[in-house]
Order: sequence, then structure tokens, then C-alpha cells
Amino acid sequence: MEEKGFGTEELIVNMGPQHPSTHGVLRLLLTLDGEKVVDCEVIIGYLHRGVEKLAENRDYKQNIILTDRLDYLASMTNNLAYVQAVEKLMDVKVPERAEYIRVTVAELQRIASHLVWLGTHAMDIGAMTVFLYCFREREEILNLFEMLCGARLTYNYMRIGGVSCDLPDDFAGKAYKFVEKFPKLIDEYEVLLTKNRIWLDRTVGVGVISGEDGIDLGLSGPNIRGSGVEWDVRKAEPYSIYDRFNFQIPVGEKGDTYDRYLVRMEEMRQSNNIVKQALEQLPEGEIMAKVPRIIKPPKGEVYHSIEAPKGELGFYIVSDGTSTSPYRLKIRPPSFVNLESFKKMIKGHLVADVIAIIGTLDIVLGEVDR
Amino acid sequence: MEDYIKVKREVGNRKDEMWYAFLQDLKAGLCLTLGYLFKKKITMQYPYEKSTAEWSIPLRWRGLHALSADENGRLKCIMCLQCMKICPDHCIKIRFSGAGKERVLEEFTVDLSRCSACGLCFEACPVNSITKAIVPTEKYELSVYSREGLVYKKEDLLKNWYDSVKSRIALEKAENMKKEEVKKEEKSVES
Amino acid sequence: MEGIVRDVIIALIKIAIVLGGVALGVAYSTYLERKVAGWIQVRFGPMRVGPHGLLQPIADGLKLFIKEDIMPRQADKLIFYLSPVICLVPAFAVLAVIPWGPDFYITDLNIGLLYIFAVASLGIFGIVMAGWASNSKYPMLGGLRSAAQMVSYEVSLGLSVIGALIFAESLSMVGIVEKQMTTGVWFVFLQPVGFVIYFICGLAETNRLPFDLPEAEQELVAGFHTEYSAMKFAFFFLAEYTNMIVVSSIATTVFLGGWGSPFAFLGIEFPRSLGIVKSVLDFGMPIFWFLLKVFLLMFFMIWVRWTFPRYRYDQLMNIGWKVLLPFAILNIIFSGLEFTLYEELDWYLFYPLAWLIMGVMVVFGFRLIKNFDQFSYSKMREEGIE
Repeated sequence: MEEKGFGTEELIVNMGPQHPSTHGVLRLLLTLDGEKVVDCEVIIGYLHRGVEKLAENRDYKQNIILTDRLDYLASMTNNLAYVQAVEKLMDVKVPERAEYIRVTVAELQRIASHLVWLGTHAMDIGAMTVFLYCFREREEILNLFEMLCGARLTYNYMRIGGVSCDLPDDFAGKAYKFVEKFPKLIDEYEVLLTKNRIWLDRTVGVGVISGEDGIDLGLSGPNIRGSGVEWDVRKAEPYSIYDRFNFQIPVGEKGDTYDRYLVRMEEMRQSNNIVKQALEQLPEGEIMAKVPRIIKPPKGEVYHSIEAPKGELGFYIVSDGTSTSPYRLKIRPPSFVNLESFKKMIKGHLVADVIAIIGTLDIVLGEVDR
Repeated sequence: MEDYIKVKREVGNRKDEMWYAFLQDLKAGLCLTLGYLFKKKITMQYPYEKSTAEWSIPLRWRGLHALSADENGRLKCIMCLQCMKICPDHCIKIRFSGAGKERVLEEFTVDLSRCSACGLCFEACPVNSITKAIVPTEKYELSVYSREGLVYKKEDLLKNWYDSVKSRIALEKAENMKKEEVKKEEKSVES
Repeated sequence: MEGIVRDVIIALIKIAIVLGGVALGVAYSTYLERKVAGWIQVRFGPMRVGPHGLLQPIADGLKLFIKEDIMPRQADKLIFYLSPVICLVPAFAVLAVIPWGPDFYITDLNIGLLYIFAVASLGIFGIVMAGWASNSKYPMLGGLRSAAQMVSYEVSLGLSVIGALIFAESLSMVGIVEKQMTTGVWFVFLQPVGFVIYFICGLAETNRLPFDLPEAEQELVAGFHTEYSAMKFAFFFLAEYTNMIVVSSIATTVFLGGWGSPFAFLGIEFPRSLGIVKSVLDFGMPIFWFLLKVFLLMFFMIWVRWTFPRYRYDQLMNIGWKVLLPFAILNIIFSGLEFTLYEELDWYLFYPLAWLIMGVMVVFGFRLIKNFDQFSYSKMREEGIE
């Protein structure tokens, strides 16, 4: 005999690919028990463009524009990772001024990317206004980039051996002005969020992941630092000229959404510091190294990774030494790897937390699906 | 300086208890947004105003392509096909007749429906007399009603050049250079 | 017979004026919402339709009228049609007893406040039915959330006004205002805690952020009205904003002295020499003060919405049952004490003492609710993380 009374059933809800808060075309199959998430399946691939395969048919210079379209919120760092990988393969020495420009734009890009993260994360949790404040500041950074290279999103700015064009005359001044006022604006976001009881309720203890689990799952970037693991490629294996600047890497302790929030906020301040230092030390000189017109790296393979805003972004390139396009290009996208931990974080949380956790992972589907 | 710092978690601070009990955290947020209520707005009323005091389209903007011409109205293009070769999306098509120095540009089309605005063609152009032969203009309103409208022919590209701010700057520059040359010549004649 | 006809006609005219006025008010409160949101977010808000976008609400209304009305194939047709109406009618019915001015209200029930709470809580059926009838998962989640939310907050909402009622000694809306006029003190000064609780519950009752879980745009897309479009959607929209006006009006009546002027203590009257102008002013000024107070409260609701994040469902329940309900009950106990003091003491002794007790009550209350397990900032929550 069945037990009398109301039986309950699990409800399967399809979240995405068209959903306002899945940050693109992520699809989640949630199994709900009431409001509680019992099980979750992450389905990706709606934005697959075959970047890695495309790269095998294009030459090294043309591939830079493909990297723009991976994490389209942080094109500069994608460019940087790729060109540095090729430079490593070809053993090119990049001029001093180009290195400084690269660091400046990469750190500005980190701020811009974190601003989008903060805005969308806060908006997912309901604070609409923070979103627009963040985008106001991001707009200024985009204006700077626009002035620099003529595009707002897909910059295609870096070149193998340097950068494509020198800073315009008023760039340094405008960038410096932005850097001067930006810390005050971060304080404003913090007034709206950091101590707000609702924000605390929604983030503290949500999506907890321990440092060990994070390492096992390959988490990187602010996500792993939120769990208290001291790992930042800029410090651990300094690339470019990061060893010349004074900056600190924030780490959290509990590994919840609130910690990751605090880590990213502090990271913005530190990036701001780096930009300031880089602008102050900016030397004169060449912006391009002497590289052949047709780029044909020697036979070999290389892996190079940098600290992108979302985590560790790596490029693995195999060259056969005869062709002008890579034999194989493998990308290690931080968002894709970070998304792995979603299932672990979400178990036992409520529907509303799904949104908060997607937000805190800071994924970009262009990079997840490639 | 240490490489890594712990972030400050301001949760569970006993000192703050009364602060929370009397809703001070909410008050702080409300005061901030109220302050913004009467601040100067930053919206640009786009179709009505296309630039503001803070922002106007920068000269480096990678907008619509243009084929530049010199002050005599001759195309600068030397038909080297560099831009066609570098284009990752194969959107530039060039056809010419004749050979050697007698080459005549028959066709030069840019198919914007494929273009990803990477700017490699502008960079690849070897011409460098004041401007390159193919240049980006500041034009960015490019929507059309049919796909055919996105294919820009040689004549359209030349027209874009004359419409752009860049052509004006380039022509001025050319004029100045001419004047300077004339001055130099006069000087050399005098001496 | 003639008398009855005259009464009916007068009543109908009043109803027409009130309904028309409120409908217009609703239309322009959407405009207010968008403008304030824009200004807070350093934008302009609507600017294109008419000067400064003043015709925007009308354009929006027209758009909703002529939009295609889509119904999901598997929907429960009758309930799907009925629910927007069920949602809207109680919201309008409540307007019957709201005293806009000393001589301007549709009717004065001696159980006015009770009537409001009874009728207003019917609107929830519309939302639950809409969620059910859509036969879709997101609306159902939204509808269920809404049901639970309304039930929880209705309790505290009712209890929060009891303190004020002790002083008013009446349930009639007009009576409550007149009591405040005669004693010369608005109940908000006697009952600040009650007012705060009422306002928070009011936000929850009208599904406004931070308690807009039934709609929760970012998680449930649009909650219970995901599947609705065109006029049916407009009805929900209308109901939501009418509810905002109603909640603000009740707060104005019960706590903020209704139509009473904030400068009443100065005792200024319009001089007789003004003639007809005086009678117009005497009729109009109270309505002006009432509407001004309602406007300010609505502005505050909008302001809150564009400042704070949203609570989670379980936290919403926690706040309803573990924070607001204990506070509302504490407030009633305190009100009894306060009323005794009020009768016994002079004002210069009464106010400091009453506010002191009130402060102690808030502190004590927060210590108390901390023991009801999780409350964000409490240390226990912090330590509770594995």
C-alpha cells in the first residue's frame, strides 16, 4: 500500500539557453525539490565556433583576431597570452616600451572585465543600480582602448613582437585621470554592497568550495584565490615585466561567494595600482621588435599561460616549422575549467543561488565553448 | 611587501551589531543613491547627438573602409594585393588589368558582411604617402536593408574617402607639404 | 426616492473620479519609477515620447492594448483569463474606503481598516491562479512563492497597525485621521517601530524589491506573469502599482496623519475674505497634503527598489516569521505600556521615556531574534560554514 497523503515529485527545470542570467547561452538542467536544487546538469556548446580548428588554417598573425573572440570581455589579455606564446616559440625579445604598454592595457582590461563581473553579479542578485555604475566606469576604459586601437571590444591590438600602434598623445593623461579617481568609485560600490545585510545574506556561505577541491577541479584566478590558495601566475611565474611592480594578490579564506567578491574588489584596486606605476615608468622607444614579415616559427611546441581576469589562460602551440599556420593550437580557457566546479558548488542550494553562483564564477560563454 | 594578503571579511563583527539593528547599512546605501538622483547625467542621446564634450569618435576608429586618393584625385592603391592576402575573412577582392607599371585597377570590393573589423588590411598596406592606400574611416552606421548593400565597390570606397574627416586632414597636410616644398625651392633658388 | 437617486449619482461620480484619478496615478507612477530609476543610475529615463518623455505611459498603454495576446496551448483557459481580473479587482475595491480628504471619500466604513486587509489579501488568488493556469514551470514557482510570501507577511502587516489602533480607538479610516487631528500628533511619532514594520511588510505585499521574489526577474524570468502578454499583462502591472498606491495611502492614513497638514500646529487658517477661493482651498489643501504624503512614500518605495539587492526565498520566510512577527508582537506589548504612559504623563516626560523604551525594545528584540538561528551578520551564521 502506498502511503496516503500528498506525494511530492521532483521538478525538472530547464534554465537557459535563453535566460536573462545565465550570462550567454549556458543551459542548465536543474532537478528541483521544491526550491532546492537536488541535481544539476550543465550543457554547453551553443556558442561553439571551432576556434582551435580555424586557427590551423590561418597564419599566426591572423589568429590574433580569433583570440579576441574567446573571452570577449577581456580581449587584451587574450591577445597578450597568444602573442607571448608565439614569441616564446620564436624567441623574440619585445622592446621595453611595448612591454609597458602591454601591462597597462592588460591591467586596464582586468579592471574592465571585473567591472562587468561585478555589475552582472550584483544585477543577478537584484541590485540593478550597481550594474549601471560599473558600466559607466567600464565605458571610460573602453573609450581609452577605442582611442588607442580603434575598437571597443575586439581590439586586435597586440602583435607578435610588440603592439600594433603607439599610445596616442593624450592617452597617458586620460588614463592617469581615470586611475586617480577610480579607487573612490570602488568605495561607492562597496557602500552599496559590502556591508549591506541583503548582500551578505545572499553571498556568505553560498557556493563554498575548499582549496583542495578547487585545485582538484583545476579552478584558477580569483575563484581559487577566494578559497585561500595562493596562486597567481603574475607572482608565481612572472611573465612580461610584472616583477617590476609593487602589488599584492588578495586571497580569501572561506571560499564562498562573498570571499570571491572581496578578492575581485581588491584585485581591481591592485590593478589600478599597477596601471599607475606603469604609466609613471613608461619609457620611450620602439614598440615593435624586429620580426620577419612572414612569421614562421621553428619546429617545436610551447605552452604559455598568463593571469587573465577570469583565471589562468594558456595557449599550447605546436609548430611544424614549415607552415605559416600552427599545426595545432590548444587553448586552456579559464571559464571552461572554472565551470567544472559549478556542479559541486550548487548541490543543496536554492534556485536563487544558482544565479549567484553562475555570477560568482564569472564565466564567458565565448570562452567556454570556443 | 608580501605577495599575498588576506581580504578583510567584515562579517560577524560584534561592534557592528547596533549598526545593523538600527538599519544603518541600508541608510548608507540609500544616501548614496539619493546623492546620485540630482547629479549630472552621463547619457548621450544617441541619434540626436553623436558626440559630446567628453567623447567624439577617435581618429583611429576602425570604421568603414575607404580607398584614399591623392590631391589630384588619383587612387593611391598600387595593386600589391597585400590587404587581400592578409584578410582573415577574405572580404577584399581586387582585379586589375595590364602588367608592370601599366596596371589599371578594375575592381576593388570590400564585402562588409564578412568583415570582422580587425584592421589588418590597413596595417598591411605598404603605401605610405601621408596616408595608406586603404584606410579606416570614422563612419560606423553601416546597417542596410539588403546584403548587396554591404558590398562596397571601388567608387563607393572612394566616395567614403571624400566623406571622411581623414581626407580633409590628409589634403591639408598635402597642401602644407607642397607649400613647404615651394618655399624650399624658392630658398634654394635664392641661395 | 429622490434622495436615494441623488446619493447614488453622487457616489457614482465619486467612484468615477477616484478610479480615473488612480488609473492616471498608476500610469504616471510607472513614469515616476522609470524616471527615478534613471536618475539614480545617472541616466535620463524616458525622454523621447513627448517633452521629457511625459507621454511615455500613454504610449506604453497603447502598446499593451494593440499587442498580440498570446496564450500557451496547454493553459487552463478560464483561470488564465480570470486571474488578471481577480488580481486587479481587489486592488481597486480597496480604494472605496481610503479618505483622500475630509469631505472626499467614497464611503466611511466603521470597519474600514479591517475591510482593507480582508479585501486586499484576495488579490493573491489572482497571482497563484495565474501561476497555476499558465501550465509552465517558472510561473508555477513564482505563484507558489507568492502564496507563501503573502501568507507570511499578511500576519505581521495586520499586527503592525494594532499599536496605532490602540491610540486611534477606531477602525474607521476617517476616524483614525480625525483622532490624529484632534490629538495633534501623527501616530508615526508614537509608533515608529510599527511604521517600519508596516512599511517593510507593505513592500513584501506589493512584491517590490527587496521582496519581489514572485517576479524575481533574474531567476524566474518574470515569475507568475511569464506567459502573459498584452492587456492581461497590463492588468497585473496595473494591480501592482495600484497596490503600491493603496499601501502608501494606508500608511499615510494610519501613521502620517492622513490629510492633515504638517504645519497644522501653527494654526493658520485661510482668511474668510477670500470667499469662494477659501472654500476651494479648504477642500483642496487636505487632498494635496494626502497626495503629497502618498507620493513621498511611493518615491521611497521606488528609491529602495533601485538601491538594494533581492532576498532569497528562505531568507524572506525567515524575516517574515523570525524577525518581523516577533517585533510586531513586541510592539503591541510596548504599545499597551506606551498608551498607559500617554494617558498619565505630560508630553515632555512622555516622549523621552517612550522613545527610550522603544530603543531598548529594538536592541532587546535584535538580541532575541539572533537566537532564532540565522541572521546574516550574526556570528553563528559565519561560524556555521563548513
